[in-house]
Parts: sequence; C-alpha cells; structure tokens
Amino acid sequence: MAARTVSANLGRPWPADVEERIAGQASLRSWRRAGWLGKAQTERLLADLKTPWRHARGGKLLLYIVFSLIGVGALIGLDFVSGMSIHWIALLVHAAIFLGGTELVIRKFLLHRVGLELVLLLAGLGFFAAAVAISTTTIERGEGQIAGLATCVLCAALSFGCFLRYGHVLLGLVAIALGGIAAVILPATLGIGPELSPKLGELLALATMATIWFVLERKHARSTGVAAGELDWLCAGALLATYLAANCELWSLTFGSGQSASLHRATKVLLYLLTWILPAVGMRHGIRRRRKKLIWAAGVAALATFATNKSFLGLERYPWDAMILGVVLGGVSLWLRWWLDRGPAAMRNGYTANRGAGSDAAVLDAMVATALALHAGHAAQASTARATSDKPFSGGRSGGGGAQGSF
Amino acid sequence: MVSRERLLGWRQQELITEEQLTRLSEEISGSRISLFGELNTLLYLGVLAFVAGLGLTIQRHFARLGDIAIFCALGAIIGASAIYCARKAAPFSRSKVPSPTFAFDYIVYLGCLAYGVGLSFLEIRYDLAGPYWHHYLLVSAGLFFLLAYRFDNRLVLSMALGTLATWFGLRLSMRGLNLPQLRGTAIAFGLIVIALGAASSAKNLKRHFLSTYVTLGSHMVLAALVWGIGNAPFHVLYLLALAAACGLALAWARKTSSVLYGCFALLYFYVGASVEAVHVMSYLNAPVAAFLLYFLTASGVAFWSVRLLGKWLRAP
Repeated sequence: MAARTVSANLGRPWPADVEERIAGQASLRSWRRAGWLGKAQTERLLADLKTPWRHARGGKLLLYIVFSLIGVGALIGLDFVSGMSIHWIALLVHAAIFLGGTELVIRKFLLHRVGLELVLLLAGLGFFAAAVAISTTTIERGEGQIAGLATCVLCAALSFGCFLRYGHVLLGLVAIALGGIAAVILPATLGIGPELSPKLGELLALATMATIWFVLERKHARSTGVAAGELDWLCAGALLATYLAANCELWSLTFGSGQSASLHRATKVLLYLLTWILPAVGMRHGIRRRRKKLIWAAGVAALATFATNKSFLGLERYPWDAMILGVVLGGVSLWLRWWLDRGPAAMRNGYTANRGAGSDAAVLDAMVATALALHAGHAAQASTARATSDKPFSGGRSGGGGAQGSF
Repeated sequence: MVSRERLLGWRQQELITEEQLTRLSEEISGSRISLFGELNTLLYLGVLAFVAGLGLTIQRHFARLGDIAIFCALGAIIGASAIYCARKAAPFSRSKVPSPTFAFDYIVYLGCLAYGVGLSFLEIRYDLAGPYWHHYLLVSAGLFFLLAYRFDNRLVLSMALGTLATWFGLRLSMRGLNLPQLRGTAIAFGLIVIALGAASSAKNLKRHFLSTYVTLGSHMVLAALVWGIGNAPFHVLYLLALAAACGLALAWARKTSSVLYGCFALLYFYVGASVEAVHVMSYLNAPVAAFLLYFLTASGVAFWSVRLLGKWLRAP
C-alpha cells in the first residue's frame, strides 16, 4: 500500500505529500470561512486532497489527547499495581516499548496527528528520563550530582530526535526547555560553589538558548514548506526561552525568588538591555521574514519587558502603570491600523490591517470567550462569596462589568 | 499550505476561477499578510489593562484623588465613549452589522467597563441603595443587553450575561440558599440564558448572538449536573439528566455542524459517568486495579466516541 511506504520526506513515517495535503485541507477550510471559496467547491477540493492518514485538530485533538493521557496513565498505573520493577533496566525496556509502540501504532493505524502518538511518545520519554536518572544515581552511589544533568541532556536529545521523526512541535519545545535546564544546573554539577553557580547557570542558560535560537534560525533560512513551518514554532519558542533566561526580574516577580538582587551591576545592565534588544530583534526579524509566530513571540516578550521595566530599574510601581500600558497598547494598535490603511491598496510591505483568511475569526471568538469567562467567573465568585458569608451583603458587591464590591 | 502547482492544476480543471487563483496565490505566497487579529488583540488587551489600572488607582488612591475628580474622570470616559458611539454607530438592524470603525467595539466595551467601575465606587462610597444595592446589577445587565443589541457587540453581551448571572446568584443566595441549592440555581440560570438566546434568534434579532448564549448556558447546565453527580443525594437522577443534556448538546452540534459542542458534550458525559463510576466502586470497596481498569476502558471508549463523533457530524 502506497500510503504505508516510508518516505524520505524529512524522515517521517508517512509519504512525502501527506503533510502538504493535510496543511492544504486546513487552508481550504480557512479560505471557506473567509468566503473565498464556495461550500460545494470546498468539498470538491477537499476530496482532491484526501489522504488515508488520520489527522485531528482543535477541540477534537485536545479531546483525543485528554483521553489518551487518561488511558495511558491508567495502563502505567495497572503496570505499577501488578508489581512493575523500578530498576533502570526495566524502565528502559518500558521506554523502548512505548517508543516502539508509537512507531507501530502510527504505521498500523495510519495516524498522522491524533494525540495518542504524542501521549505514547511522552510516556516513553518519561520512562527514559526515569531510567537515566536512576541509573546515573546508582552509578554515582546515591550522590546524584550528574544525574540531573545526564537526564536533561539525554532526554533533550531523545525528545529532539522524536521531533525530527514525527514532527511534533511540542517535543522540539520540550528539548529546548531541557537544554536550558541542563545549562542552569551545569555549574553546580561541575562543583562550582553555591555562591556562584546559580548566577553562572543563569548566564549559561542565556548563552545556550541564544545559541539554539541562532542555530534554528540558520536552519529555518534553508528550509521550506512543512519543515519551515515546524522550525518557525521552534524559533519562536527559542526566542521566548532566550528572553526568559535574560529577564531575571520576571522570575522574581512570578515566583518571588531569583538571582536579580545578587547579580553584579554590569551583568544586570546587560540583562536589562537584552530585555529590550531581544523583543526588538525578534520583532524586526519576524516582520522582515513575514513570520507571524516570531512576531507573536516578540510581542509577548515586549509586553513582559513593559511589565518588568520598573522592577529592573528599581523604581516604584504605581497602580496607574497598567493604565499607561493600556493607553500605549491601544495607541500602538490604532496607529498601526491607521498607518497600514494609508498605504497603497491599504497595504505596506505586504502587511494589511484588513481581514485575512487565517485565524482572525478564531481570535475574535477567543476574545468573546475570554470576556465571557471573565464576567461569568466574576459572577460565580461573587455569588459564592455571598452564599458562604454570614454577614449580610458583605461580599461580591459589584456594579457589574467585572468591578467587584471590594474593588 | 496548498502548493502553487496544485492551485494551477485546480484552475486547469476549472475547479477554481481565475479571480480565486489570483487571490489564493497571493495568500500562499505570503505576499499579503493580515494583521487584523493581532491589532484587535492589542486593542483588547489595551482596554483591559486600562480598566484594570483605573480600578486599582481608584481603590488605592480614592482618598487622595477626591470623589469629584474620580467621578469627573469616569464621567469623561463614559461620556466620550457615548458621544463617539452615538456619532459613529450605524442604524439599528436586526441582523449582523459590521463595526463602523476599527475601534468602535472596544470603545463601547470600554464605556461599559468604566460604567461598572463607577457604579461600584458610587455604591461603596455612598451606599445609596442600602440593602437593595443588588438591583444595580439587574439595571446594569439590562443596560448592557440594550447596548449589546444596539451596537451589535458580543463583548458587551458577555458582560450583560455575566452581570445577570451575578444578580441571579446573589438574589437567590440572599434568600439563604446554601451551596447545593445554588446548583439548582445554576441549572435554572443556564436554561434561562439558552431560552433568552433562542427567543432572540426566533424573533430574528441578532441571530449571531445565539452561540454566545448557548455556550454560557450549556456550560452552566452541564457543569452543574456534573457537580450534582458528585455531591447530590439523588446522583443517579443527575446522571440521567446529564445524559439527556449531552444528547441535546450533540443534537445542537449536529444541527450547527459544530465539532466543539460535540466535544463538550462528550467530555462532560465522560466526567459525569466517571464520577458516578468512582462513587459506585468506592461504595463497593473495589481495589485500585478496578479503578484503573475502568479508566483504561472508559478512555478507550471515549477515544473511539470522538472518532465516531467526527464521522457523525460530517454525515449528510
């Protein structure tokens, strides 16, 4: 059967044209939603792109993943209950069974993306991580100094290998994250004292993430089609990872701890400059190369820079800072819209503020859903507060619109 | 993405027109990139951040700012929003009306949020309505509904529904209802919301609002029923009611060809049935393996159901 033959296409288990056909189906649906194609016409074109490989997206994919997680979790639980050994060789065998099982399931049932294969891969990775951690700890006779590092490095390599084989972007992102963690713990593993190792680890993570980003960008520049699309995700992830490593204040604000206070002044100035440079570089690169994912990642990083700027400079934060941020965001949005509209054919350098065929409708639906969740959540909170309160009218007082009685 | 060669092939087979070929070629080449979604997101976040900052500033500095300054500032925001909307709004229509300007929907939303902040401040500072302050919520919800329908704004509609839910919950909780009784309230409210949406749609009044009503209403009903299975004494009745509600949600999904509603129905039923199964197995003192076996089987069945759901929704 032609569909079952292993193709040279990126080393994937499916034939070369499957990715293009599946991506094409998504494009056709979005063009249909945008009103560029008729219903019957879309059905005819979809039939032309039909492939026997199974694929799910959106809510269905999420549901498949949830049920696969529960099922695989229960299977592993049953294995444990029936007396599974936690010796590292047994765990390695489990990892091999899950990883091999993934390949088998994909080929047998022609699964391109249905979530089950992702969950099986994650389970295999989990068993592999446990096997490496236990084996290295055993070799070290319980000291556990290199166990963490070995686990991170080997799992990152395996995860990236799985990404290359099956194209799951999540696995690529996991590999990047594990690479960052390995860099953070490397100084401590090398025996550098607790005074210096966290700071050195942070800088090493920054350098590692920046290198990964650079390498991925180079790779992306030489890629086309599906590979370029996948690498686009990884580049955006690497940009955010580099930014996270640079913005030490973000960690302090989020977790209440971090190295920001103990950093040398020159280092802190460098990191502060990077929090501005990285979003700017990412945004510029994304705009020039017309890569929306990179633009989004740079936008998120820029927002984080605005949010942490005062903490970096040691300035006092005021409640009206959020108002100023709101005015800046709104102002930028309105100005961009105005500027783009005044270009020839309402376009500048290929960018337009008018509706496209992409996920515009989904973005608007997401905003309505967020508003609904915000207001309904507020309603539930206010009602519960009132219902559980003994004192009359002591909670949930509100003027509507999300403003609570207690402000 | 569809390749240029495939598009040309479709054109040769006359499956697409020359105009469509030009448009789609432009799209796949990336020569025209829309920032519509990004600019909308930025403006929406801007409005949310601004109102959050406004609320925080008033909360922390109202003594220093003075009531007059606060009311003037809020009045200016609400007044400017109202004037802008009155000037720019298209005439009322029962069907969908596109926004007259890019910022229009967000200015209506900003005005409504500022109104909410102002009303809360007014009531907390002066306690004008005393024990009847919750009527503000009903009035606010009414106003938001009016504005949502007048300006065709789904963001404001979601505010109206949220405010109505708050009033509904508070009004009943003031009568001394406890948390389990609130479950019934949630079901009743969900049904009312769906009925409101259905009535509005039947009257041909902003039919595109129906999905917002159904989304909120169905989630409230289904979540309350699942909650009932976990806690109420007649949990089997709740399970039967959940099965019926999920059946209706599936019928709605089929009618609207919405995979999302079908997925919600399956997920809620799976959770409800699992809660009941765990309840029964706990009662029977079943071993851990039995629980795990249940979840393994049930998730397999559910996985298969999702697959069947897709086929069923696509079937003619």
